[in-house]
Amino acid sequence: MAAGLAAAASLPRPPPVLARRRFGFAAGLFDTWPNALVTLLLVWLLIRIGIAMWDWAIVRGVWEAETAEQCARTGGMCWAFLADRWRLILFGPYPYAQQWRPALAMVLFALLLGASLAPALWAERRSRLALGIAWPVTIAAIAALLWGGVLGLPAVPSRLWGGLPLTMILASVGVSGAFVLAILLALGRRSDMPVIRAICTGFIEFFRGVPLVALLFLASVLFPYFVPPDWTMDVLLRAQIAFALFFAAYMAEAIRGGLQAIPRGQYAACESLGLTYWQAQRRIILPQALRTVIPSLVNIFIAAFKDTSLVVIISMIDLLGAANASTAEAKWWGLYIEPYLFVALIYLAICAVMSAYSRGLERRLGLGER
Amino acid sequence: MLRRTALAAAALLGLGAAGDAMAQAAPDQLKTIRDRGVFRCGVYENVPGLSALDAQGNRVGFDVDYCRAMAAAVLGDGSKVEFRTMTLAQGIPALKSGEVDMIALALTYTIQRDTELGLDFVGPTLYSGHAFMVHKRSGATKLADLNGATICLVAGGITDTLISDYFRARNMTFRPVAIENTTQMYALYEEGRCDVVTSEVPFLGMRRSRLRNPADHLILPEMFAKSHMGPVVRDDDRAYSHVARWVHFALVNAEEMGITRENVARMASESRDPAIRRFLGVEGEIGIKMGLANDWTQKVIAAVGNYGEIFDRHYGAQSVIKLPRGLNALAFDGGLQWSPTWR
Amino acid sequence: MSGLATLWLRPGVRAAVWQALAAAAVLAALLWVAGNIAGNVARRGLDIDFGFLAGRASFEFGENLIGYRPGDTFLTAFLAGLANTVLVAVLGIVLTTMVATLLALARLSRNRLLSRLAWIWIEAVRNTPLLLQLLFWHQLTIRTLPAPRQAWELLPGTFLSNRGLVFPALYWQPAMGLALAALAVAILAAVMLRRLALARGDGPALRTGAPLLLALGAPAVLFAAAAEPLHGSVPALRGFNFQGSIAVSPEFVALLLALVVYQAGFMAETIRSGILGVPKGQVEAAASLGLSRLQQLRRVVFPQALWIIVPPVTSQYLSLTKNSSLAVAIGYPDLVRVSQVTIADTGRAIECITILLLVYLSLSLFTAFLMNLYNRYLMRRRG
Repeated sequence: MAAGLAAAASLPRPPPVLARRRFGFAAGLFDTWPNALVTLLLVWLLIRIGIAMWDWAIVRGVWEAETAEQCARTGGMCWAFLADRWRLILFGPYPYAQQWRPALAMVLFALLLGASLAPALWAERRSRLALGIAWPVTIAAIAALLWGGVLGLPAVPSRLWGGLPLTMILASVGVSGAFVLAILLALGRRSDMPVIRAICTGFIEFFRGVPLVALLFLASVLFPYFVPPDWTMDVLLRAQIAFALFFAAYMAEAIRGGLQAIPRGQYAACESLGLTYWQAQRRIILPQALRTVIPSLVNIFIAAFKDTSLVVIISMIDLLGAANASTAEAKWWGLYIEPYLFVALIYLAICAVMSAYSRGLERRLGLGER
Repeated sequence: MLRRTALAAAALLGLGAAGDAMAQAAPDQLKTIRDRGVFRCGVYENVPGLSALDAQGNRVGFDVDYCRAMAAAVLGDGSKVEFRTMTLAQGIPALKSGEVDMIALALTYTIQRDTELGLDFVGPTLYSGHAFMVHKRSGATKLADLNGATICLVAGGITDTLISDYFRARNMTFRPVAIENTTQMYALYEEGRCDVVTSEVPFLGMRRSRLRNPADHLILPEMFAKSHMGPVVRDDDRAYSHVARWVHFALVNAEEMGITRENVARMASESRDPAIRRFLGVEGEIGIKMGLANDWTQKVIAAVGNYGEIFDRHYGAQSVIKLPRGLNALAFDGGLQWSPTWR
Repeated sequence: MSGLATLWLRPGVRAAVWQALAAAAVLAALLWVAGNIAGNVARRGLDIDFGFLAGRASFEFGENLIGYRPGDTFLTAFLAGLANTVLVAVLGIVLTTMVATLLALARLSRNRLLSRLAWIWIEAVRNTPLLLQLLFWHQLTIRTLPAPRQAWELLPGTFLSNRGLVFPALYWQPAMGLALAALAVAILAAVMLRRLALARGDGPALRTGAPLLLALGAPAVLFAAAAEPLHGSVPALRGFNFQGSIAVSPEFVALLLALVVYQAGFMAETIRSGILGVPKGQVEAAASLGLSRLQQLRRVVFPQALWIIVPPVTSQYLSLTKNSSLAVAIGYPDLVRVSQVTIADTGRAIECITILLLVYLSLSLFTAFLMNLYNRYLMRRRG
C-alpha cells in the first residue's frame, strides 16, 4: 500500500526531454530484428487481449437479468448487476433518497480542487484571495450537504456515509491534517536540538515501520484502552487521525527532501537579515521547499486515496467496502468480478488524472531543469 | 520554567493515576448506553442472513435484529443502533476493549469463552453444528473420506482448532485455507481452491442455494462439532448481562404467547390475561427492577417481532433458504428454544 | 534586566529549555497512555501477560518452513508466521528489483510500442489499491490452474494445479549436508577465483566459466561420490490432494505476484529516473570506447544510477515488507494470521498486537540498516 508513499516521499526526478521525440511514432518499431520481433509479439498480444475482452464484456455480456444465476449462463460480464447496484457501490449506506447530496458534494469538491490546482491561479493576488474564500465556503457547503440538519435537509449521521464520498473525505482530510504535522516533523528532524530531532525521527520511523492495517486495528478495536474510561470518539475521526499520523511520517520525509534542496546561502542570508527561526522558515525557506515538493505531495495524496481502502477492516464502507456489500443481497450472491472491476476502474480513473496532473506540474515548475 | 514543566508532567501523571482509581468503580453499562443515547453493536459486514445491506443500504439480518432488540430494550427505540461491522477475528477484542456493547457474530458458545475470556452468552439463539460441504464430483460422502482435503474456513474463529482436533484424533490431515471474508471464502470453494468448505449447517445451506449449481454440492450429513451460537456481552456488569439474556427470552416468550409485531400493541391494551399483562409490563414492575422501562418487552417486539418472526424472516419460510425450524423450534414443539417463566 | 531574562536570551539556554519541555511533554503523553492502559486493563479484570506464548496452539497452519504442527507452542506458531512473512518479503524484494529493472528498461526502450505499453502497465498497477490487486491475482491464479485431477505435470513428479505447485520431497541423507557444505565453500572459492581472474584480465572462459564450474561441479561430484541412490517421495494423487511432498500454495504465489507487480510499478519509475539522472556525457563516453549497449548499461550507467536509486528504493523495500501484511486477506498464513488465531483462542489482543508492531518495526529497521550499510559502501566507492 505504502509503495506510493515511498515513491512519493523520494523526490522523483522527471526525465529530461528525450531526443528521440523527433522521430515519429513508428521509429524504433522495426529498425532491428529483435525490435521487430518484440513489436510483432506485442501487437499479437494486444489483439488477443482485445478480442477476449470484447467477447467477455460485449458478446457474452448480459444486460437483462434479475439474479446472479441468470447472469452466469453466458459466463460474460453481468451489466445487469451494475445497473442494479451502482448506486450502492458509489454511495454505500447513505439513505437512498438523499444520495444526490453526496453526489453534489463530490462535484463541488472536484471543482474546488480542480480550480485550486491550477498554478495560473496561484500567481495573482486577486485569484489567490478568491481561492482563500472559496475553500472555507465550499467545505462548509459540503459539510452541510453531507450532515444535513440545516436548510430542511434531513440529518444523516456520519456512520451512514459510504462509498466514493467517504473514500474522498478520508483521503483529503487525512492528508490535510498530515500536512501540518509533517511540516513540523520535517523541521524538527533537521533541527539543531538533539532531543527534538530524536523525537521527530522516532515518530517518523515508527509510523513508517508499522503496517497501516495494524494501526487501523489499534484505532478501531483497541482504542478504548488508551483513553480514560467512557471517553468516546467517532470512528471516522479516529480513522482520520490514524491516517494523518501515518501519512505525516511519509510527507515529512518528502518535505525534508525539499528543505535539503535549499542552498545553504539562503539560511545564511536569513540570519544576516536578523530574521528569527520561525520568520525565516515561514517567509523564505518553506515557500521554496514546499514549491518543489508539490508533485510528491500530490503523489502522497494518490497513495492515501488508494490506502483508504483498508478502512474496510474497521467498520467503514468505503468504495471497496461498498463493492463487497453490493453482492450481499441474496439475488446477487456469487458475483465476484464485476463489483471489483467497477471500483478498480473508478480508482484508476481518479488516480490517473491526479498523477497526470502531478507530472504536468513537475514539468511546469521546471523541477527537472534544476 | 523547568519547574512548571515538572508540574505539568506531574499533573499528567496524576491523570494516569486517576485511571487506576477509576479501575475500582464498577461499570454501569446500562447508564453508559443511555448517556450515549445509542447502542453499539458489532455485526458482520456482509454475511447474508446474519447481517448485510439491502438495496436501500439498510442493514438487515438475524444478528442485526438482536442488536435492534437490545436497543429497543435499553433505549426504547430499535433504530438507535450504531452498527460496527467487523470480522470474526476483531469481535472479541472489540467487545473486551469496550468498543462495542455487544457482538452479534454468531459466536459458538464455549466454556473457555464463558469462563476464561470474560464473556456472557445470550441464548443460544441458534442451535446447530459445524458441517462440511463438498463438491459432489469428489466422491466424498462421509467425514472419513476427507483425509488430506483442503478445507476453506472462516479465519479468526474456533473452526481451525475444532477441525484440527477432530482430524488429529483420527490420524487424518488437512490443509486449511483461512479467509476473513465469507463471500470470498465461498467463491474460492466454488472455484475449486478447496475440496471442502466448513461452517454451521444453516449458513452452508444458505450459501449452497446460491452457488451456481447447488445440485453439484453435498452437505455431509454428519456434523463434526456442535455449535450453539448467540450474541455475546462482557461479563463485568451483571445487571447488563441479565438484560441481554432476557431480551432473548422475551423474544421466545413472545412467540410462546402468540404475541407478534403486529398484535403487540393490541395485546398490551386489550389482553386480560395476567401472564401476558405482566410480560408486556402493563402489570407489575419487572422492567423497572431490571433498570429498564416497564414496557421494554413491548418495545422489543414492536421493533423486531418475536423469535419465530425473526427466524422466518432471515432463515425460514420468508427467506430464500427456507430452513426448517428443527432444533430451533419452541420447546413446546419439540425444539430447544425456551423461555423461563415470566414472573 | 534580571539575570533570568539575560539567561533566556542566550540561545544555548533557550534550546535546552525547549528540548526539556518537548521531552517532558512526550514523556508525559506516553505515561498518560500507559496509565490509561493499566487502569482500563485492571478495570476490565484483565492483565497483560506474555505467558500465553508457552501454551499449546492447536490450529493447523498450512505451509510453513519450520515444521510447526498443531500442539506446538504459540511461540513456535509465531515463529512459523514470521518465517513465512520473511520468506515473502525476501523473495518479493529480489523479484521486484528484477521486474522493476526490466520495466524501467522497457520504458526507456527505443521501441515506442514497448515503452508505451510499459507506461500503461505501470500507470495501471500504480493507480489501483493493492488490496484489490491481491484479490484479483488470487482469483486469476485459482481460475487459471486446473483441478488436482487434471494437474499439469511439468516435470516427472512435479505437478501444478490450483492446489499449488508440488514437487518431490527428498529424504534427508548425510551426503546432502556434505554437498551443502561443499556448495558454500565452492561458492566462496568461485568468488575469489573470479576476482583473481578479473584482476589478471583473463578472458570470459576463466572469468565466468571456471568459477561457475567450480561452484556447481564440486558439490555435485562430492554428492555423487558419497551418496546412496537418491530416494524421496514422489507426489501421488491420493484421495483429494497430492500427498507426501512439498508444495507451494496458490496464496503464496498470488501474494508474491501482487506484491511484485504493484511494487515494481513504483520501483521501475525510480530506477528509470535514476538511469536518466546519469549525465549524458558518461553514456557518450562509454559508447565512444566501443562498449555495446548492454555493456554501457552494466558497466557505466547502472553503477552511477545506483547512487540515485538506493535511498528511495530502500523505502520501497520497507513498504513491500509491510504490505505483505495484507496476506491475511487471501489466507496466506503469515504473522498477522497467527496473531489473529491466537487472539481468537486466548483473547490476548493487546499482547498479540504489541508483538505484531514490534516485529514489523524491527524488520523495517533491519532492512533500513542493511540498505544504509550498502548506501555507505556505494558512497565510499564513489569517493
